[in-house]
Formats: sequence, C-alpha cells, structure tokens
Amino acid sequence: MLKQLHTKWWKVLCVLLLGYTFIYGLLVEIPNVALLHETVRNLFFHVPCWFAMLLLMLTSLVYSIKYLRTGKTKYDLAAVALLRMAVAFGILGYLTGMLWGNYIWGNLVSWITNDTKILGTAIGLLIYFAYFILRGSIEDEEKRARVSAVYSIFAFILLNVAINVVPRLTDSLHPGSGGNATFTVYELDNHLRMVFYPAVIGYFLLGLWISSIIYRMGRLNYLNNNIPIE
Amino acid sequence: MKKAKSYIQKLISFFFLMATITFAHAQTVEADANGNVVDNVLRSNGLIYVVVGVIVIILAGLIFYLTTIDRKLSKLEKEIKNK
Repeated sequence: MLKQLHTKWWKVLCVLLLGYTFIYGLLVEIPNVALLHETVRNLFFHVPCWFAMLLLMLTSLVYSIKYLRTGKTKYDLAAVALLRMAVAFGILGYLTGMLWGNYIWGNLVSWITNDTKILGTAIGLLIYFAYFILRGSIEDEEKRARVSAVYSIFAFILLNVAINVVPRLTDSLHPGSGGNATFTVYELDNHLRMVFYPAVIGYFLLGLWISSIIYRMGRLNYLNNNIPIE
Repeated sequence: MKKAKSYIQKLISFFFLMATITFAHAQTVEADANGNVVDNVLRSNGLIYVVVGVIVIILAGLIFYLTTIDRKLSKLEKEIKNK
C-alpha cells in the first residue's frame, strides 16, 4: 500500500485536473440559467466538495471492512485518514453552500434550518464528528480500531440516508429533489459536464493525496511507539 | 548532493512561470499613439483572466506546499526505515 502512495502519476493527474477545473471552469461558456446566472459555475467548485466527500467516505468504508476482516492496523489508519479529509471537504461544502445560497435563495436564516438536504448534511457531519470523539475516547489501539470501524459502517449508511434518501422523499431547494431540475435539464451541449466530472475526480484525488499524507504520518507515529501495523 | 526535480515540482514550476508571466503582463498598460489604452488578453472579458491568474497562483502555492510536505515525509520514512 505504501508503494502506491509514493507513485506520482495520480498526483500529477490531480494537479492537471484541478488546474483544468479552476481555469476552464471560470472561462467556459455557461448556459443562461434563470436566477443562477454566473453562479452556475459553482457547480464546478461547490458540488465536487460533496461528491469527493462521499467518494472518500466510501473508500474509507472499504478500508474499515478490510480492517474488520483482517485485523491489520494499517487499514484502520487508512480509514481514519480518509475520513478526516472527507469531513474537511464536507465542512468546505457547507461553507461554500452557505455563501451561494445566501445570494440565490435569499436570507440565510430562512432556509438553513428548513431545507431537508442541508439538515441532512448537518446531521451526517455531526455523526462523523461523533466518530472522531469516539476514537479519541478509547485508549486501547485495537479496541479503538474495531469499535470505530463498526461505527463508521453505520455512520456511512446513516449519512447516505440523510443526504440522498430523505431529501428525495420530501421537499428541498436543492436540485434533484422536490421536483427541482438537475443540471441535465439546463444544458444541451454538455459544457457543464465537461468541467464537472473532471472537477469531481480532481477533488477526489486531492483528498486521496492529503489523506495519504495523514495516513503516513499516523503510520510513522505508530512505528515510533513500536505498535505493529501489519 | 543535488536531487533531480520530481515531475510534480516541474509541473508546479511551470504553473508558477505561467502565473508570473500573466501577472507581469497584467501590470503593463500599453498605450497607442493616440494615448488610448490598448486592451491585452488579461484586460478583455471583464478582467476575468486576472481572477483566473489569482486562483492559479493560490492553487499552485497550495499544491507546492503539499508536495513539500510529501517529500519531507518520504525523507522521514526513509530515516525511520534505516534506523
């Protein structure tokens, strides 16, 4: 696993995709969407935060299950590192969403507690904050790893219910729920998609990169304290 | 001992070079014979290219910092491995 973390091609790809997103995302011709106007470009910057968060959480889930199957501490370290970055992306998505919504949906107070999707993300993120508190409260490494791996499986399911299921059952200001259109409706020439998907991959790779550094730091810390990780 | 530059660092220096060139370009105001300001690329399209330049500089800076941490960590890993 460590060997793959030292390979360079995916880091280069990350830089290229992010460069493409941040340059072309500002310059690409956008469809004329009512109300949103130029802010439709936030699709390239705000939405990938959430997509990258979900992808990182999914990867972390895989490592949690791997840990439970094998009992190797390195998988636990990988799962935590990925979750740290995922939550960071979640917070960034929340903040950028607050700024965007303030100008499109009006006064912050009127929707931040009333929109199901935003409430769902708040609940989901709190569940993951609890994950870190849970980890911090257990001294024994093995017990900590096992408990948090099981917890993170439930947390992932709960977060997905809160973010992806409930808003579709009820009403939300966000696209894709409550009869609101997704971006497929607005555009006929796939301009938005040409930036959006590379942006998601770029954000995800950046998340992987930073969490690989967090993982390696945790690994060194464990090795330094003579805790076996294999 | 001088180490060969990594791919990423080369890429980042390229970004920096581009950013510096565009930034320097943005500073020059070219005037023609009648004293009118001639638009260059950066001044066109509502100055959006200046924003692009700023964002590229920020992104390049962050990525550069990230690669530095990455390399420092690699060094530390090697030291601990050889211990």
